[in-house]
Amino acid sequence: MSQCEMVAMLLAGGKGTRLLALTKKVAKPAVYYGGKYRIIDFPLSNAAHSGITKVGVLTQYESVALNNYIGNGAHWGIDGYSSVAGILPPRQTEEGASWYKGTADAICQNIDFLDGINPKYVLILSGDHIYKMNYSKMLQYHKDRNADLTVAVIDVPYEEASRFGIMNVNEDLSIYEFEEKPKKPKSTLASMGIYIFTYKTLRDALLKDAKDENSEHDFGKNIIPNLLAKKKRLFAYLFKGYWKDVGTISSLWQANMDLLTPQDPLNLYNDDGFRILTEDNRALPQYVGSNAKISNSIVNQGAEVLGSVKNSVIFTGALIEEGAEVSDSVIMPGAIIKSGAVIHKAIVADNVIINGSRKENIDGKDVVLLAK
Amino acid sequence: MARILGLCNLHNAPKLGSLTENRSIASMSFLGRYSFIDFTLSNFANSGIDQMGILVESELRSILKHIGSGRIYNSNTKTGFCSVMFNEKFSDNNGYNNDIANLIENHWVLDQSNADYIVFAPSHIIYRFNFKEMLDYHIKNKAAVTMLYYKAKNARNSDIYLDELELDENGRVLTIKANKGANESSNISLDTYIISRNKLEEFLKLGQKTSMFFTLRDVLSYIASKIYIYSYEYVGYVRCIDSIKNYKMFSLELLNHDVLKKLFDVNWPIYTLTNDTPPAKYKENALVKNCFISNGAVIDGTVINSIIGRSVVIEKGAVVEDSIILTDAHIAENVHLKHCIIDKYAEISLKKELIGSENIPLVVKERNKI
Repeated sequence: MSQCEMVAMLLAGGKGTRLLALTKKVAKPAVYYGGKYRIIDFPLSNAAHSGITKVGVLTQYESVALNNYIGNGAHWGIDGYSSVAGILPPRQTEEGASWYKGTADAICQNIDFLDGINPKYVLILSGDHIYKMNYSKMLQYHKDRNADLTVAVIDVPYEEASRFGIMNVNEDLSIYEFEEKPKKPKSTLASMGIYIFTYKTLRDALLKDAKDENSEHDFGKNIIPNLLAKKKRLFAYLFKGYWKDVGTISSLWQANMDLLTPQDPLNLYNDDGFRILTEDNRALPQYVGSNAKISNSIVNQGAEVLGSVKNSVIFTGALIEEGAEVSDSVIMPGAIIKSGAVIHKAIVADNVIINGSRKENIDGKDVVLLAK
Repeated sequence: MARILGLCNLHNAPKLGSLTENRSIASMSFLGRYSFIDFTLSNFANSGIDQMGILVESELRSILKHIGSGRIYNSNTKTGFCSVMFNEKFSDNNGYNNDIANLIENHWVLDQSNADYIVFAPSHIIYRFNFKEMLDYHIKNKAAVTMLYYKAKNARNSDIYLDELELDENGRVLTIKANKGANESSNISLDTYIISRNKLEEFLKLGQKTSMFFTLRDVLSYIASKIYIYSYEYVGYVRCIDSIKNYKMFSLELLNHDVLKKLFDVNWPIYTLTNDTPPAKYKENALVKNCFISNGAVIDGTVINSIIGRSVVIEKGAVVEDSIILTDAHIAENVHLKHCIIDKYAEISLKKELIGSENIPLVVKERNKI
């Protein structure tokens, strides 16, 4: 069997409970972001630009919309002659049927998929982070160190470090300890949930972990400590750049607002050869009306702006009627803001109609979600 | 079920000065998002025609770039196809390079489709039309040819590029002649016809035998008195893109919502190439009124009654009015444009004012720096 250099396994089964109604019918990776994207476009575009042609997407929670969206991988060009875009929900086997019990278990239940591809390395990704990253550089780093596992980390402010899984490292960035949400962090290098494993190491570790009845079958809690205990070569790979885990309504809102800053942290408007790839849509061109007022905003094709829009992100098919005022807000696909409505510091979920008498969140202390 | 082949005929398309120097109208940008050929091919697709060909006269490069494999227009990417038909043999010989010669050279498309009926439609005339109705009419009549026309009310001043059909009281086409603007109201041919396969084979032979310069339209005109050519009336929005003035006028009139609704319908999607460009960005000083804005555009100036193409940059203090700015053009600070068409990749920075007129828009060529 011919060998593949690296396959990406994307964990996309999470519910994202703190995103409330936004994840009522879709998994978190399918949540809309940035006027035109879904969160999962980011890791999949990164994979595509990193030359990865084989991807497995592990879905579980509310997977219908997500499975349809992934399709044959064509949105990201992952439908070429050597491509695999496998959608991998839990399934019934000879041993019975079971849900994915943890991140490691999800991969372990798909060892057949990996064996079929026969990769040298496996990249584990999370489907709910927003960032641009070239995984091929990380793979080179992994190979240069002859590592068993490389964990991408980001340097976070000390006061936030206790919210993350922290990698404690030696001077050469080799990892000697992993601490999940430490009260007194020894380091500020937070795990991004992006791992490159040498496949043989991963395979052995997963099969061993599967037999351990006390294990939670989690990469952070079980697999990494086990590998450390066995003196395997683990390294941290320091990522510098924009990275957002959009776990809450307020962080999702903030990540959208970040796109409006002049810094353009995701470099969406400079051709850096890393364009975020996404779904085609058949919308009309975007129309801006004669009495519209738009400033400091991003607006996608298919949107119609007839009213006032300031510091906001407007998705396709959204309609802002004349006499409506939208500020510091995110208006998701197909939402309609009727004439007279005033919306401030809000996320309006897709296809929601806000009638003209509503004045929402005028004091703007916290971000609000307006959903059905 | 009858087998149908849709052929988009790019022969005999009008020229629009420097705008069509390196491209045909078919691949020209329209509303910042489409090419004209998208409308023809989407009409085919939405009418259930999944086998298509494009009869290319020249500027093959721009067509290939836009069409790619053609699969964006196909409902089934294996049983359907969208083939580019190009007559290499006569590509540098205008007279001989006509649709009949092209069909003979690329006869394999007719063979492959094994179609019973062939629908011919141009790309310089835009309309929203379900060919099914016309096909039913054609089949019911056991017709050899059915021609699509519309009743123009202002044929003295418009559609001068097109043909006029003389019809008898039963709708039989008696003559096909160039519209010279003689009549106020007239039956204007939309260069759109259905021809039954066996008749088409006869017409190709007849055309070649009569003159190497004969086009399909010439054959139809020649035989109209000899065979019964049916006509079918199109009622609805239709525009012929036959001049730079009309290109601009017909583009900008769609900013009016009532006009837009006549061309577009949610149940009649227009398929086009997409580019994964980010949403349009409006900066602090942006002031935009009555415009279509394409994705990737970054606007910090004033834009009124205009169409802004993909990834266009309009800097602070710039004022753009009644203009069309095509993909990747750059309008620098404090530049004032009115009644202009700025072609792709052009850059306006040194000259601070470019003012055309309603009738004669000022055109800046592709990649020019002014």
